[in-house]
Amino acid sequence: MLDPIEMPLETPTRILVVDDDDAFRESVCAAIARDDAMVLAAQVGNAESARAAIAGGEFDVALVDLGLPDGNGIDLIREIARTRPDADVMVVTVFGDEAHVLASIEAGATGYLLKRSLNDTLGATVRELRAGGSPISPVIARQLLHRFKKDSPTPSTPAVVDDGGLSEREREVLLFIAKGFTVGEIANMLHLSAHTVATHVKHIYRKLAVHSRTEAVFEAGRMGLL
Amino acid sequence: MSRGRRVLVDFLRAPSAAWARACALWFALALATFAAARAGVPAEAPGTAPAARTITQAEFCMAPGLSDTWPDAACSWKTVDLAKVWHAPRRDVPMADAWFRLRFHLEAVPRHGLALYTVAFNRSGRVFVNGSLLREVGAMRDPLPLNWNRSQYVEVPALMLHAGDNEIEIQQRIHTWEVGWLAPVRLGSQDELRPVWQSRVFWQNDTVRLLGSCTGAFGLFMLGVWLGRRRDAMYFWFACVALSWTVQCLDSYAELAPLPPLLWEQVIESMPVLRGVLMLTFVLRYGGMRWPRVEAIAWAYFLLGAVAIFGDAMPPIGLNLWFLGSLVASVFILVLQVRLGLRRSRLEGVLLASAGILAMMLNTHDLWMFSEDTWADRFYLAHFGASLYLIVIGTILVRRFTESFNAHENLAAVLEQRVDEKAAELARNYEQLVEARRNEALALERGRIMSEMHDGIGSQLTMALSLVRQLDRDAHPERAGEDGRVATVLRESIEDLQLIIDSLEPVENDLLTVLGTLRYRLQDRLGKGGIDLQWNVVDLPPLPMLTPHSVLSILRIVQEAFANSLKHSGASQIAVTTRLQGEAGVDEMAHIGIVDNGRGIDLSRGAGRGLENMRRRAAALGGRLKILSQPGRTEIWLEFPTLRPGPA
Repeated sequence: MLDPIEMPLETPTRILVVDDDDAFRESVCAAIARDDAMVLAAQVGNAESARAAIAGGEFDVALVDLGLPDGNGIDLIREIARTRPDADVMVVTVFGDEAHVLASIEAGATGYLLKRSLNDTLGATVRELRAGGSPISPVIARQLLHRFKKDSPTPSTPAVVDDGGLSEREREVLLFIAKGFTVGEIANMLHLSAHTVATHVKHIYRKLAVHSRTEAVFEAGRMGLL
Repeated sequence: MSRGRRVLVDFLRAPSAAWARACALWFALALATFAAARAGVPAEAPGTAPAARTITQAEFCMAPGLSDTWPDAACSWKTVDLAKVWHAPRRDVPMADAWFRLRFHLEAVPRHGLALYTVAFNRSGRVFVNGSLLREVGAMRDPLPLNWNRSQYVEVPALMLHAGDNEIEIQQRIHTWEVGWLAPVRLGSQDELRPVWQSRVFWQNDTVRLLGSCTGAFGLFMLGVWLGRRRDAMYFWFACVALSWTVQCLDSYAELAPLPPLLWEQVIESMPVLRGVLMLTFVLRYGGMRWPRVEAIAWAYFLLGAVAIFGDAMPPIGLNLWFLGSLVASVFILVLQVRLGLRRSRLEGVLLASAGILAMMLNTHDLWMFSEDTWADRFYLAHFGASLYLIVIGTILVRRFTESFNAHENLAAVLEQRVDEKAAELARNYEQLVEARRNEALALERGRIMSEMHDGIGSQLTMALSLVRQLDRDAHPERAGEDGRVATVLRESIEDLQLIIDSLEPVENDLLTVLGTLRYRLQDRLGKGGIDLQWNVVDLPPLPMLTPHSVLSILRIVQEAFANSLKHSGASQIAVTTRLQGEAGVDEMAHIGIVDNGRGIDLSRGAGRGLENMRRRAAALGGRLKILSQPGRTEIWLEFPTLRPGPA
């Protein structure tokens, strides 16, 4: 879905794999091994080992499955986002459905992969992600618009970047994606590079995560927890 | 009333009465106002009737004791002018008598006799003609009847008269604490004097009775209002004012006082000041003003005078000053009342002012009448003014009462309307709440199924596909990247599951998001097949008919159309088009077109199973499928009703 972006990578991207499905891990490891641009940092099958790997290991991208036998993948994503802000987290999902993906993005993930097409898309997606772009589906774009619209103070207030609201351009990009246009088509229409459009998406994801965190702090404060 | 009258008469005759005379000039209007009333009294027309004459001189003597017979010569007769006002010589007895002898000459005895008429006669008495008793004017025993405001008319039969000199003897009896009087006496024909007397009775007695009853009815009504609304003390005070006036009126028309004569006299004497205090209290309540000190002073003022009067210790000058103070206060009360009235409405203020000023003018007229000593025809006017004044206030109160009643009714109506609005709002909120709960429950259920599919069957199918692909790779390394038969079935199962899940996603009634989702899912395969997809869509309004069920039908139809193009046609270009046709609320249809440049579908061989399914699903949407196929261009159009309501 993302237009390939050629970018010379001096050092291979280190990948941390967290999934309880052995066959899948093997398959991912094989895919990483096939690609010169990627190198395996660690592969773990449960949340406990994952925490150890996050605390100690060096990695640039973490592939995280949400359903782990001893914990919730969302918590792991949150932890990585907190302790390793320079790393990217990709959530591994079977259907790429809005519920799973948005929850992961709120926790701090900036990308997601469909499990079944992982072999074909892993390399491209990781490269895109490291270059600053994130994948996005029309349903997720629509939900993001909905989420930010609901939270913006008044409809007449212009969107402000810093406070968790969307900029006009970001809103425009989301709207086009929600209407089924690809990143490439949007880039053409807005006279931007495909890369810029993809970076907008990643920015929006980050905003949502920040937004969710401040919202959580606000909620906690309101409930007297802070 | 007689002592009070006497006191006033004395007072007004004094030089200090000049102020009253001066004031009186200002109140000529009062006289004009009641000219109409006076018109009812036939004017005296001396000379028109030969017998008509007014006797203004009499012989007078005070008998030492009470007697029913003519006093002997020992009584010291002297000639006096009428009207004659006389005092009892001693007060240690309850009653005293005086005798008048009126002489007149008749050329001839009128055939029907004569009539005798006098406007003022206090108190009881007997009329003799030429030494024979003709009539008793009121009972002669204690208590004596109330006669001070009653004119007397007596018919003298011809039998008792004779040509030449005649005389009329009049015996008067009073309580010793009061004064007696006899106004000039008119003699004339009965036809001449009877209407004069009747008219006077109507205007001076019957009308006062009517007005007193009116204010009494007002008073009782207000008392009833107050009993129902104890908070509104003004109704009580007005009732007191009105009822006290009714009692006062009684003195002007009743035959007999309802109390012993002296006590009644004391009550009536203290009544004007009491009424002033009651009026002040009423006005303060009416204006919602709290002046406890003023009220206390007013009541103390009244009590001081009342104690003196009932204790028989009020000197005449004291009574005068007491009334004077009350008079000054009543001007102040009227000003206060008019200001309050003006605050509510101009009409109210003007009414109060005119009625109040009229009442004062008529009062002054009566005082002026006393001072001028016009005994011939004493026509009291104060009753009319005071009654009118009270009726105006009463009417304003009743109006105010009905106004607040109406206001309450309106308020009730407004409240009812608000309650209705709130109830409707609550009902709406409740509906929204129910709707929200339902949506929440649906979302929860959807989430549960999603996570079951995701972690359960979805994961397992994905794992199975991954294993089969692994096996395929190991067995046939030369066919790497190509799915075998089992892998294809598994992949299609996952794709179908994906379609079902996508149909459950929140698309917010946007058809483009539905189609975009499918495009997004097929992106990789389109890319792999080197197919150029053209997204020729126009934005569509929200379509409420896009439920998960209909979304799944649309997704399946469009996916099948894509599958045709991808698998069999060898097309290098596919265009997706959307458009709306028809009129919302009538026949609006959404059109989705998938057009490719492939080799086309051979429709002559009959529709395949795929096309059959598409048609069936289109029919389930209430729509239809249109297929135009020729080599190089195949168009599949799905058309379905939007079911959008028309513009309101």
